[in-house]
Amino acid sequence: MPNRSGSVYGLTILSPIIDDERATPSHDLQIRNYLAKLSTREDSPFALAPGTHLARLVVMDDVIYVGMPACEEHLRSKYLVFESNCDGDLDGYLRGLADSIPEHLDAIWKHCVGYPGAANRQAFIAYMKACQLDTTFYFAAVNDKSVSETLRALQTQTAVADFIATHQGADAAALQQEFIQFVARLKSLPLPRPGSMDPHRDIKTGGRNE
Amino acid sequence: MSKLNETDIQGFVLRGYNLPVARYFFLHFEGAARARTLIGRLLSHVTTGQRWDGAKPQSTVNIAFTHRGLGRLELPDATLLTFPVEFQQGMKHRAEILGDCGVNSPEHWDKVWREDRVHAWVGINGLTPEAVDARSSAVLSAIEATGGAIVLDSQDAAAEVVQGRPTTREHFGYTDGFGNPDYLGVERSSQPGQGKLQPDGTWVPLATGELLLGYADEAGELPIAPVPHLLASNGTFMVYRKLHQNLATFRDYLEKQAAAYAGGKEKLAAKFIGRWRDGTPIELSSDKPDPSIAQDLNRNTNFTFGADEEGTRCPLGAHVRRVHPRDAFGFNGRLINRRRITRRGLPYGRFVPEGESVSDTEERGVIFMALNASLSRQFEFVQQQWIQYGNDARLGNDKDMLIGNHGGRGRFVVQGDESRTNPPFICSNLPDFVELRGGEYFFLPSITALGMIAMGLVDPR
Amino acid sequence: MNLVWRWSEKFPGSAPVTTFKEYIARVQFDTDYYYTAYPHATANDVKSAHTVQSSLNQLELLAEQCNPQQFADAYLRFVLQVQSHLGETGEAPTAG
Repeated sequence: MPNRSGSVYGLTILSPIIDDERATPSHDLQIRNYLAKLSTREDSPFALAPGTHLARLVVMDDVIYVGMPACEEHLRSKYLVFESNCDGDLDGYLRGLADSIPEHLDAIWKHCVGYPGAANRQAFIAYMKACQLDTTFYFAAVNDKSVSETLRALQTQTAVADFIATHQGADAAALQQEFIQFVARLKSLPLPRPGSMDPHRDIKTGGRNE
Repeated sequence: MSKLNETDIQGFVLRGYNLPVARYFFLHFEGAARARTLIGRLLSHVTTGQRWDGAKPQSTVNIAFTHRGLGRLELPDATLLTFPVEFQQGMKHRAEILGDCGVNSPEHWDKVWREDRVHAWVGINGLTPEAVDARSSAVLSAIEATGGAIVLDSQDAAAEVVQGRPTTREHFGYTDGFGNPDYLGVERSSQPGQGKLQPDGTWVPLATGELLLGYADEAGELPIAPVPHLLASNGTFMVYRKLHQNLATFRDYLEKQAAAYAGGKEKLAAKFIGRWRDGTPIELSSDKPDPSIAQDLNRNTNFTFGADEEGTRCPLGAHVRRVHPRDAFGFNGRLINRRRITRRGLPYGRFVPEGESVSDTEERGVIFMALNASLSRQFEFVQQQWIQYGNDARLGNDKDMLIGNHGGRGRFVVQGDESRTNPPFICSNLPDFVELRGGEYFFLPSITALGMIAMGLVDPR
Repeated sequence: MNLVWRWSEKFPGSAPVTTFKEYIARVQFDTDYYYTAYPHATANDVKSAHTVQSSLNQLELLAEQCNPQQFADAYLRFVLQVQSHLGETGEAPTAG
């Protein structure tokens, strides 16, 4: 089934945005404004709710007319596009969102037609599924690891590089003992938080996500 | 394609002169009319790409301009605005993109590069210091006579001379000067490994448009170039970077790391770059340098990495592998062909033999110059993605061992195997072996274009 | 590229590359919000990280049970398995 690749799920939700000329600012602008101020780091709602590898939100105004000889067409509504690469099972993921971050979901989706609110879990899940687009082709480079497993692996990778670098030329007995201690310490470390930016580097990046 | 008109292209572009002494003047134009007169005077000095029958000239002259220099010469707006964006901005403005931060950031540059006053580069190359001095006097006379410019600064550079003969060694002891690409139509002594790789393993020249404006590049397109066409054609862009070398730090670091490395000091030094210090590629000779390879034009740049996917002969992050991955990214090397540059330049500063004391604060390093038709697609890409970053080589954020700005952190991994003299080895806490002291982007026009500029004939109509 | 895109209106073909890139830039939607659980790691980094984790798990199984010399041999093999997967992760260069 194309929405899945291994144990990772490719979710695409397309929700019509309320079109009300009496609203100022308009509903689509209110969504954009909310998203512009929303953190993309470890305090992002998608870091707080479980199971999100990648999430993208796009306010789709209209299709782009590229000029002749293409036909000029227009969407009947503005749409909010929500894409998520998430762990495993869709119902579980949606319930996780509703449980952890209902206020963010409401703040964004209340501007969409027919949104019932996150408080009623069943209605919320039904609404999202009604808006779901089936993925035609889904490729995930790593498709069998959960968010937690990946965070753990990244932590391990850094720690292993440090261990190898600091134990070059160590004698065999000491190496073995220190390795055993290293593994125990590594296991006891808290899982890194999703969306967090460690380790920090000097090179400046432009924009919020670059 | 038909042969290039070599007399219309500045000689500096088409071939390395192999003249061991150089002096570079950095000019600031005073008044457009007088500057144009100066350029007209210098035109008769400018060395073209015409082949030298018989002996080399005693000295050569070439000239290039910054964007602000072309503005001071009062080229039309339509011309100035159609230069590529990165050239208009200049190298200092691009510091974040290039990773020129920390110790390499512009606030640490030499004064001439911190200020935005350089309008032109006049490059003099010569067989001897006397020849360079003589030609410099002629150039300075023209400058004085026309009142067209002031000299903001000059930079001397020279190859190391050993027993009366110039070498191609730089200060860390590596033999340099391999790997400049072959281009269609550019006649020079060509070597296998310099062009682009074909599926059958042979090498053919790159598209002319990777070096020269006005010709199709490897994608079959013409790189962005200013109008009118005649101004741009047969010209190119030049990157100039003064790279200071911390020789004491390098020698110290190599010594300390080598003490723990079972392959020994010379092998470790070879692993940093991908060539032994005499130039032998470690892909072709993994245990020791081999002069019979290093001096053989048919062999010394004729190798690929396909049989060394794990990096056990040449480390994945070694310098030559980073800047010219050859077939290492698959697709028969096609991802590489638009990322090649031609290097010129010479070392500067006093050479000090191994064993003699040396200090990082002494002025020494290399004047790095690169020629390419597209600064952003070629030089900037390689600098940003392959030197200051490692993702394409699957090395995460690891930077080039020798020229990355590590700031005391960062690692270089020497991949190894089970043999005793080729163990896996990690170099940590990398210092900054090289520091950027300044530079800029220049436009190196054709002879025709120089004439147009000198006579005020640039008109995009 | 052509097989995927040829159904799109006025798609210019994937070569020459500049018109292809301009077409994509013109018709793409700008993202209002982008979140990744791994802001400091690329897809390559994640693949490498899992390789390191899996090799480490295997070595850990042996570590308690063998003598120091056996462990040293196993450790060398472990290092050889992970030696091209140790790139540092962190902020990527700016797009400019």
